[in-house]
Amino acid sequence: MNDSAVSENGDEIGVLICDDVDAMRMLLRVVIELRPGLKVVGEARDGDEAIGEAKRLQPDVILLDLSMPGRTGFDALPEIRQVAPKAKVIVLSGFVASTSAPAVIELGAALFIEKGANPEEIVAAIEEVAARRLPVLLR
Amino acid sequence: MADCLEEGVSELLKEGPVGKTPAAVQHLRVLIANERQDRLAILAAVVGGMGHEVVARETSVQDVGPATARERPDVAIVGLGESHQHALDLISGIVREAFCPVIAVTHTHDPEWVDEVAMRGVYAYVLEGKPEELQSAIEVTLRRFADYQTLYGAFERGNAQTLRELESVRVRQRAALALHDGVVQGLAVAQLALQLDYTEQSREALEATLSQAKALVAQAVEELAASGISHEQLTRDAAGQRV
Repeated sequence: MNDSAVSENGDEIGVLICDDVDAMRMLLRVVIELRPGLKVVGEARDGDEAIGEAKRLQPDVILLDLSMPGRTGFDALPEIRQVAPKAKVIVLSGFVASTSAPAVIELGAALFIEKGANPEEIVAAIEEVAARRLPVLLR
Repeated sequence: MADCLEEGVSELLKEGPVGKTPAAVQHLRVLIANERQDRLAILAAVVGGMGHEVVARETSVQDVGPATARERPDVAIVGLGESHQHALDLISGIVREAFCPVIAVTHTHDPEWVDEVAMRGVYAYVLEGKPEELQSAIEVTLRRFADYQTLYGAFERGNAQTLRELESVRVRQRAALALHDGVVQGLAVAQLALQLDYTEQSREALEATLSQAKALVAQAVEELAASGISHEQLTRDAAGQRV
């Protein structure tokens, strides 16, 4: 793994965190900001916020929970892909990959990670997806 | 023949409707159609005499379809005239357009012709003869139809009840899914916090998750107890899958 990850254009990798659980967003922020080369550019608590923030911030990577109140990650994903076409979407979900990953990959997600992944796996996934070394991979 | 029929009808009307129609027989709303007014009158007398309601009379059998759409009868009784081919042509259109089962009143008992009529979707056919014969035939046919309707209604009610129960199960499953998802989310937070040495956050997440898990168990116990399973059995069931 690189000591300092960069996005396709050589800058820091900007990450948008979308999860309705406050504690999960806080911990993901810690995980990401402890890693040189990664920075959190924004947070969203539901699908609508995720779309709005993705459009406004144009992040490199979006960590997207599926199970959110109101508009879910499933609902929001196609629109996120439209408003932020360069962003790579990593779905980070409590659902198991075997049942949910095919559907979200079909909708344009770059990667599916089950919640429970350790911090190293999460930052590695962000870096690899941002560098396009891992366009589609199921875990 | 017409005089004979009219005499018979008069006799039938004198007898009155009630004695020949058991109270248990369902009251039906019936549309009648015949291109001949005299036959239509006979049909009306027979149907009315059996205690059913004639909701519409059509002298143009081509109007039967629209009339059933308008009046929504339980059944239509349609006289098909004497020409076989003309009757077949009529019946196809009537059955296609009608909003209810069609009982044909025919002059013929030719098995091939009856097959043709049946293939066109007619519910039943009645041979037109003397009024008392017509009455008997229609009475049997309407009684069978009423039985069918009763059975169908019971089936529909049972079906509706099953659908309601399925919907209720679905609602409970979705509520349980939300609780289960909450448990997974809580455990994921607890684990991630622990990996980051955020022990306080991990403890808080575990406590909240434990509460949700207890709520799940309580909900399951409540539902199963409501279905008649004893508390003792539920306790054994709960311990049975433990690893």
